[in-house]
Amino acid sequence: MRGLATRALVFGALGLVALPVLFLLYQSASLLTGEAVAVLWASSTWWATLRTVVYGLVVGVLCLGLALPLAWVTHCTDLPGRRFFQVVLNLPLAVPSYVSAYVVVAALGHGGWVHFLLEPLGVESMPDVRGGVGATLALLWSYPFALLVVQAALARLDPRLWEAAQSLGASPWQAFRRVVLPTLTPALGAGFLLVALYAISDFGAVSLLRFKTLSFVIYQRHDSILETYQDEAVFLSLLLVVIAGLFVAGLELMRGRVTASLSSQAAHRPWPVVPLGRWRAPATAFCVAVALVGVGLPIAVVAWWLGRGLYLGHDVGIPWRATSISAALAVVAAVVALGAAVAPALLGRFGRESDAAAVRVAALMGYALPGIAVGLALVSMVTANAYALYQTVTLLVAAYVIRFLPLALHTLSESLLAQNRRVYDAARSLGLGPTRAVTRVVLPMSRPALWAGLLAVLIAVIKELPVTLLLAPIQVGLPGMQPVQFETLATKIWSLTVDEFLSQVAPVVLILLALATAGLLLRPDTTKLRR
Amino acid sequence: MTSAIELSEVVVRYGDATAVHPTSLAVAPGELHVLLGHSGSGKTTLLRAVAGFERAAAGTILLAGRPVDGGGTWVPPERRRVGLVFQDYALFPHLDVASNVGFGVGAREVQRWLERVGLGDYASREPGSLSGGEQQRVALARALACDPSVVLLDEPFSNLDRGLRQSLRDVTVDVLRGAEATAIFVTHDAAEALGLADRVTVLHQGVRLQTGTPREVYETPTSRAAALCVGEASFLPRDGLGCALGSFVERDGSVGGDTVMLRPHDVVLADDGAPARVIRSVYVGAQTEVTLAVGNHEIRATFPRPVSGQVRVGLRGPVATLGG
Amino acid sequence: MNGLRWTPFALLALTLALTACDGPKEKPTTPTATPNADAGAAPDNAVAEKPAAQPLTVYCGRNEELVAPVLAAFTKETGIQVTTKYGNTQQLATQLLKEGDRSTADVFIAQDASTLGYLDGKGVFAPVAAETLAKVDASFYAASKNWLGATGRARVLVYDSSKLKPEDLPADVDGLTDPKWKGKVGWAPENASFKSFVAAMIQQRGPEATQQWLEKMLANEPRAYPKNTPAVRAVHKGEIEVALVNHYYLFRVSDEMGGTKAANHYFRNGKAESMVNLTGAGVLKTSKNGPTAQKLVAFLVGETAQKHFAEVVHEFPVLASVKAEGLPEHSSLNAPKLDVAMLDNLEETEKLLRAAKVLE
Repeated sequence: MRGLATRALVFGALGLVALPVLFLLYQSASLLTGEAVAVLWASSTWWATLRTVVYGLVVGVLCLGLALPLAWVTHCTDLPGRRFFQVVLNLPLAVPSYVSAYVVVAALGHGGWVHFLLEPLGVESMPDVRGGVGATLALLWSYPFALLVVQAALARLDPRLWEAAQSLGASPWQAFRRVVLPTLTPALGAGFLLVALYAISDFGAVSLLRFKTLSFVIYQRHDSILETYQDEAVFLSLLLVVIAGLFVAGLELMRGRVTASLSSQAAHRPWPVVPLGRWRAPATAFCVAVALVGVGLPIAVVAWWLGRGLYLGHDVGIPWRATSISAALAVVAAVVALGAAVAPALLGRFGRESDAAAVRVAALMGYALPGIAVGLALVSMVTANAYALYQTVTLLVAAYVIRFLPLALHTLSESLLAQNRRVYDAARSLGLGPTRAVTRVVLPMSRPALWAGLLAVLIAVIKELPVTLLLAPIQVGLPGMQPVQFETLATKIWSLTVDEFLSQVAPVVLILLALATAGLLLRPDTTKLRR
Repeated sequence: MTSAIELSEVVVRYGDATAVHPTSLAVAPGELHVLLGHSGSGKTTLLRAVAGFERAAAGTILLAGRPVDGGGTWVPPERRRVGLVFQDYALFPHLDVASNVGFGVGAREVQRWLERVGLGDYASREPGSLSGGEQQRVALARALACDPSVVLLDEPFSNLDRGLRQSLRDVTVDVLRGAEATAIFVTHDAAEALGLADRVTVLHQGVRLQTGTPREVYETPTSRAAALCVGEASFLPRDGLGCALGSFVERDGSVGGDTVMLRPHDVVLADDGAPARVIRSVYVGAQTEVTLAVGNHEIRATFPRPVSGQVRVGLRGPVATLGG
Repeated sequence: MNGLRWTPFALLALTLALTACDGPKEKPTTPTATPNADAGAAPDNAVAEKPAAQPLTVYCGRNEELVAPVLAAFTKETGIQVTTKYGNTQQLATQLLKEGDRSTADVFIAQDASTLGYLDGKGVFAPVAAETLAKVDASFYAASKNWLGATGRARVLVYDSSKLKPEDLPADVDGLTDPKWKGKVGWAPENASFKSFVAAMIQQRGPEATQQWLEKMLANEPRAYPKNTPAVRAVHKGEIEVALVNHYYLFRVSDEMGGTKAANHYFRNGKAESMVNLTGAGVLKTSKNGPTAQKLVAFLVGETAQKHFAEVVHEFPVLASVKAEGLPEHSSLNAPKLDVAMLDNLEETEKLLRAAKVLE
């Protein structure tokens, strides 16, 4: 893994991720003398920055607040239906923010479902859920990002630590607070970071609920046909990237001392070991409530739209074209992103610590690259320098890869952690060169990890909106076929909801949820793997 | 005097499978009691039931005369005052050595305990930087520092190599004795069990076969299975006061039965003994381990020197008899 | 698990196939491509005795649901294939400017006049054919004759008819700054239609008075919505009492909800709030299919399209022979006389909206 060629490959892939940032830098440098740079000192920019930071922090903390107890009760306790909940509680990840935003309004808005229930009690009007509150609620659907990380960390935590603490007289709460929580710190940090970065780069919820974060402002600027405003979008994008970078750096500094459990090769006694006792009913109710709101509510809202449309005799069709384009694009982008992520992920696992740190930061940085910044940078880049690529599937796939390579890398690295590195050594000792040891032993053993990475990117691409909006080709097709007009499930949902074609959008949303859910269900549970 | 630990008719089940069949056991204060058995014998399960990590499906458990499980009582692990030492140490990775030892509720004299286990200078070290043996000594100090009523050790040395295991065994016994602690020690290693126990309980497939001093369980086992759990044994059918090796004297404490049990050292080379054919002879230094055919029976013996071909063998002294 | 072994290869094949389809598309986008090369790229279309018309590429800033039926009718009537890129009007306009003379777009359909005017100012449009312009009144096309209105959208005050009667409503938008409307007014400030309205107000009153009005409105705590339709739906649900929007969103909400208690109020006061904005279209100067593109623009103001816009979308037709159902006579709206091309003072409008803190 130390060959120069491997290094080149690895840093080439990571360089690709950095490309949009570099271009933004280049572009802003050339704009420094212009009028647009003044946007950086505008008070509205400071407010948007403040909102962005607070949004990231609040969403991160709230999602962690959901994820930690959920991970604990579904992983470590004798909760009834644990396995069912372990799967179902991850499904809200399938709901994109531009859908959950509608769900929040439908449920909590004036004339919404909660209002309907409260009206007989004399509640005449509901507080406005638009703005920060609504956007925060809409992003709670992203808590599975944190849940997945915490679950994985709990799977690596030796339950004997819990038992040791109890045998030393610690009550369950003390054992949790003094042993489990400190050993989970790095995972909690990572989970917080994933959610917070998702929030600060969110585009759907803040647009639909008009919460004026940097993403919102960038999109408004980009929306304008005035050149100065578009130039301002460049600076604001860069500012957003910097904020995200600060989040990553801050967390990297706060990283805990020890990550993995010390226990050696001895087989773990499997969780769960914690009896819930009288907490059984409340814990079950909590899980059921989260599952109902996270999964049931979006489906119910969309089904309601569909039902009303069918009742009114609206023409509701199945979006075959958008579905097949979305599926094909997602598969292609996922395969390419995964292919590009394999070498860096291996270097991160089996290489030097400095390489591992670089790979880890690159993986996190990717989340921090808002789709809108990636899209914007690529559009400017190719229109200026590579027009032949403009509005091509190739560029769109490249953008997906840039945006989601870090996701593939992250998923892959996490899963590779579960792999015993002595197996690699064993393969080397059996006469395999490094490359063959990787292709014949490490990668086949990592098949669950590869699937997990593939499906993670697949879901992300299907949901991705701003990149698709900005880089959409006009038409798309297979060789020998009449090209068809380009559209994806995400862009179709977006354009239909703009003018509230709710009954028409319902089947599109349902298909998107079904595809993403299928991806989540198919994903192998890499947390079950042991070192 | 009240037993420090008293189990009566304790049953532990995992779902439909019964891991421990009705088992009774009493451990006196200050006693070092070993649960000996192969894997699957239920020894760790029984230990976990005492610690409070498994619940007895039937029967009662008393610690220092106080019911902790069964008969409608249930005391959670953290209030049983048991110190637990694990096979893989289970040190808290986020705490340094002193904080690990001082973790327990009511833990006192951290530094003194560290010195007792020979790690006086290790207080501020990270657990990850310690060797296996050192980690296990920290775990022992941690278990003892909060003055437990009993110490439970679950195969504490099985992750260590042989030399380290012996020295650590000595340290552990010294420390436990010095603290006058009551301890239950689980192991599958018969030599370890015999070497450190006051009394040994032999478990097999969830059933208690025998409890006794190391000598008793080694020399006068109550069944073939018990005999095999504690060490090497050969069995010959009994014919009145004789067997294939000639007449014998029944050892005191034998349970009696139609089988003669021979430990390898019970068989000696004797010019006037019964003829035997050497099947295998393995030289291991201080002695030679020999497999012999006597008539149509196969027996194992240890001789001071290598042998081959035909030899004559007899009994060294009294031997144990047991039921089929 | 055996099947798994082949999965990577199947995926790779799909990847290659999908990216390969960029091939034929890239050719016409290459600036150096000759018309002959274009014809060669699409041999399927070249079999007819007379050379079939080139397929058209349309950038459409209006909603697909509303426009696609018209384009389908065009293809059906003329046999000319149309590929459409749908999006937000302003974004597509930006994109057209970025693409410059490399653009593959033939026709741009926009949902507001100011964007068309702005683009025209940048010189991207070719003149609209004289016979097409002749079909409509001169007030419906640009003075430059480079783009043409397709439909009209009147500014209205949508109100909750269960709580308010028309006589309760103010005579003009200044009335909405009255404290009695505090928290009861909805608008969609990021929307192009709102910006056009403000641009018209600037034209009528000048920037200072417009900014004053905006600031007074803000003091009255209007509820802001991301688009016009959610604002109308908020009136429908009773969340707010009135909303400053375009007239046709009411029909959209009514269709979606199966009827509504929201209703349109036309100010009819000759001021900016009575303006009728135009959706429209222009042929790109860079189009290689000029004559075909002109056919499409002509079709948009033809009877078929106009009927669709009037009856299904509920917009004001620009063709005198077509009448809109459920809408007042266009002439009764007392719309202000505005120079549509002057509405391209977008820059001033945006700056003013930001200065007044209506926009970030």
